[in-house]
Amino acid sequence: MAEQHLLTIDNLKVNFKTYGGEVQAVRGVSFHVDKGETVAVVGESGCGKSVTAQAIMGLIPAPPGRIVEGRIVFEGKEITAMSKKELLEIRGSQIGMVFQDPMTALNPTMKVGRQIVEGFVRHHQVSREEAQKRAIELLRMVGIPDPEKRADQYPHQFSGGMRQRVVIAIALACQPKLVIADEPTTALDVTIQAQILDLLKRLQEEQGLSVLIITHDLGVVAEIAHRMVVMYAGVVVETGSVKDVFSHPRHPYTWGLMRSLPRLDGEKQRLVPIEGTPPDLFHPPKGCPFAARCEFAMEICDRQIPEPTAFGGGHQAACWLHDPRAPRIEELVAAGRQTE
Amino acid sequence: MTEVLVEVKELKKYFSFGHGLEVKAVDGVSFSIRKGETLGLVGESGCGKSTLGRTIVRLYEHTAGEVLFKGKNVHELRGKEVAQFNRDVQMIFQDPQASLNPRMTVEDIIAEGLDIHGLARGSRRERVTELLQLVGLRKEHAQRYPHEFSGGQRQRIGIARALAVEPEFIVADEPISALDVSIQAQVVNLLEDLQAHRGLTYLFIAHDLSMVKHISTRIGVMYLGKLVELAESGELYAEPLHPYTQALLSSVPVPDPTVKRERIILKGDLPSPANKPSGCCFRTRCPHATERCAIEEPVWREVRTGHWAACHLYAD
Repeated sequence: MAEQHLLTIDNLKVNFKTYGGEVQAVRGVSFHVDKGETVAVVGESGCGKSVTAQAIMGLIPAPPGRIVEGRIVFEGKEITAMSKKELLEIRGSQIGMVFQDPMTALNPTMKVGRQIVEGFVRHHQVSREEAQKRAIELLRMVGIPDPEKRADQYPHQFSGGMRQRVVIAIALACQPKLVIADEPTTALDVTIQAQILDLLKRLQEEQGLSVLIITHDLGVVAEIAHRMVVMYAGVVVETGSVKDVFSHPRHPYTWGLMRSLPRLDGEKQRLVPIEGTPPDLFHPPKGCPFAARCEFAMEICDRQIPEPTAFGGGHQAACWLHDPRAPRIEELVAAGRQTE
Repeated sequence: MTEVLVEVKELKKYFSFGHGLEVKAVDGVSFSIRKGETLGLVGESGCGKSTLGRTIVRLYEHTAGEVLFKGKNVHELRGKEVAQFNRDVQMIFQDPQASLNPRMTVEDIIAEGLDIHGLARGSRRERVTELLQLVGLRKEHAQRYPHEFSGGQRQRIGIARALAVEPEFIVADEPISALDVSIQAQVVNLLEDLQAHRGLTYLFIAHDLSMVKHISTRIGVMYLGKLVELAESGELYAEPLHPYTQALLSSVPVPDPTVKRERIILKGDLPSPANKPSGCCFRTRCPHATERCAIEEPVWREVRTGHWAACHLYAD
């Protein structure tokens, strides 16, 4: 049943060995991406969102990292069980990746045109002329003016926003079914970010792409995504359509995130921060990882990790407040809603 | 009208790279900061906002123009006046990791200013404890090193250090940009509380427009070394005059999927500050640019009461 999704992540667990012990960066993450949709994974630094993306691409450096448990299934094939060679066939051709920092993602000594089609040439046997033609076509597609000339330039001759367009062109070179974008606009200025988000949205719609976008910015999520996955301390705490999660957040962490954001419109109100800091993932808590910072924490929260509760339409939250035995849930949810 | 604490007049800061290459990082900026207010300064990377902040606190020598702090030209202070200025004016930096000496304990970091200015002699430890508690840290933290803290806690240490010498004016250069969303709100609330209790004046430099709007009394918008607009924060957001401010505000993603706004997408990129366009520096990306904009530089004028802008659209 789960196999009909384009990408399914099932109970993924990833650990990293360090001198200080083993960090449990991802601790049982499950979600899926369907064809033609944009899914956003949001969370703060260290919540495991980038590690999840790297695992999908088979880019977890091992050692020190290792996938302890779980499956990643792409188009019915299990990525986690693939050999290196099989992985190479999928990576770049079926799944494209856009990284955060376009300067470090590009090779400074290679002309942009050649970089763009490097993967294309590898996956399809094509002549030099054809490759160059394809590179120019891709540059035009991502909105780089004068592509014939630009293809023969080096990355340092491009501005930050233009470089990110090149990185997107590389990701799209082989017409992948899925593009994973890890904080694609974080390194960019806000006017350039608007350009890149527009571009991603346009390409997604025109080409029927699936996009998995990793971000910490709820504004970006609201602009671009259809569904969202909220992560905290290596686990998924809430998931659902962007509309549902923004209008009826069900997890105290999501409430906290939304309340701590200042709004451009509307009156000035005192910000409500989430007190405390995320837990230490060398020794993750036995119960709900958010319990220590949660104003509604109950006894059970420290003892046992809650299972996700479904609210219909794919909206789920992992919180004990939604257990039928939990007290005062209606008032608590109402209190959460007031803060929107 | 409240008292003016800092007055910046036609301030310029050029960096020279030899061979006649010069970057006009701050190019003729004038504004004033009133006592007790928070002036927000926004703009994209490379617009000169950090250079402006650093030139105001004398971390950089200025090229031309002047900065008056309590009526005195800060770049002409000598001897004891410099020491007093360094007490009155403090800075909070963006990266709390890089701005704390990793080989000093928190106590020594916070007390460094006290020692230099000969304050709190004999009560150094008590004073540090007091400062730690003020910023929401604990007494035990004094003997630890910066690496033992999280990003938000480190920023609190940076704030405690700035407060140690009891300044009147604090330049906060992107103080929350390196922090996670849930931690940003903690630090912003702390800054607001400190301002309320101690009557501090802030120059708050940031690129996150929603946070700047939240914390600022008035906001200045910079583009390529120039101030293009300055107004009360509510008015700036409700009725931005300069086309750049309009585009900047419309570019901010709103964390609300039900809001669908008309976005102004700017063409192209920021021109190089070493090679600025003639006339109005924004004209290459401006949707309203005319011939006049290429020839003549717009004048910085008060378009409405308290609302300044530099744009030909609002010339007489």
